[in-house]
Amino acid sequence: MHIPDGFLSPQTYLPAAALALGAWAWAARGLRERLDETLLPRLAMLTALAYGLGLVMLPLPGGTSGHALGVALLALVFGLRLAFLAYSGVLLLQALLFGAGGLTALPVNALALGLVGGATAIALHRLLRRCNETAAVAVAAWCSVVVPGALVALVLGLQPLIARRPDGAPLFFPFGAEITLPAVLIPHAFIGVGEAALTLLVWRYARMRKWLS
Amino acid sequence: MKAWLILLLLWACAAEAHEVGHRIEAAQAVVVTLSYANGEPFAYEKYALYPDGQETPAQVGNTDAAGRVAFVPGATQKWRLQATSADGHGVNLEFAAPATAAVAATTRPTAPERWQLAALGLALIFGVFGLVQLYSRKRKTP
Repeated sequence: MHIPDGFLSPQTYLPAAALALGAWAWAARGLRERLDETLLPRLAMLTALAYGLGLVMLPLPGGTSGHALGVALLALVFGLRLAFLAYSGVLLLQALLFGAGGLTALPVNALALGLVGGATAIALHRLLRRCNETAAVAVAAWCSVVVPGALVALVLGLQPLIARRPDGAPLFFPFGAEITLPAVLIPHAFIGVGEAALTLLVWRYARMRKWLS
Repeated sequence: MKAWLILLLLWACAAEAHEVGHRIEAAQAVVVTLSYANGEPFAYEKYALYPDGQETPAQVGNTDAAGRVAFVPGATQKWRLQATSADGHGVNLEFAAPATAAVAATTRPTAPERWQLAALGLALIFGVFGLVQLYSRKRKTP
């Protein structure tokens, strides 16, 4: 789901970079406000877990592969601002070390996966926890994969409309949303199930240790 | 009759112009192999191959079953390969064609192993958070 370099037009990644810079500053202020000696080791550990999850590739139907994100567990344990900041760091490392996602696409990836993914998880958890806490965590985690997936697919699918050559050929990503949406969403619906199970496991542990924010 | 023969000849010449000729010969090619992080080949996906600085691709097509793109570089040394799948995977790879385009099967990879990069990433995460921890302690110390 991480968008590589060269897939997005400047008309997409430059406004996203401006938006992401503001969001990172907002998130950094959140970290500064909550900075204490017990928070940081936990945040480091779960950030490392999210980073590790990104390295475990699961084969998916159709010959492609995918991996869990870990953004829901960060968001449910630490809140949106810290989750967004930590997950942006994970995306940066994945881009620099593994070429998984590009640097020009980092703002879009961070906004979609870190901010929208985290916000989706928190909003759905708050909405559903009165009914059933376990189900709320599971649904929140599943949607934290699928909703950013839909956003990434839409951003990719819009590229042929945004930037074209004079002959009409796309300058950047060549497939439209009618192709990208099913191509991204179907595999991520499966990944979301694994993400939900894992998030539930970590969230229960965090609740037991009274780590939840 | 003579007119018919001339017409037939002209038609035959015109028909020949629609043929696609072919030549089969051995040449030294560069082979770029694309794969997913789990080692699965990036198979049957679209790619476009651009000579350095040009916007018109020299070659377009689909990777083969093993995720390979093969091309004959000629005099052009620097290339850019853009390969995409519909689900947003892909590469935008700039590279120099090897001086001799022969593909050596025994070439050892010079890039770090995946586990080394993973360990480096983990070290960076704990290192950065450790530094922030030290910074926060210093700030709180009167």
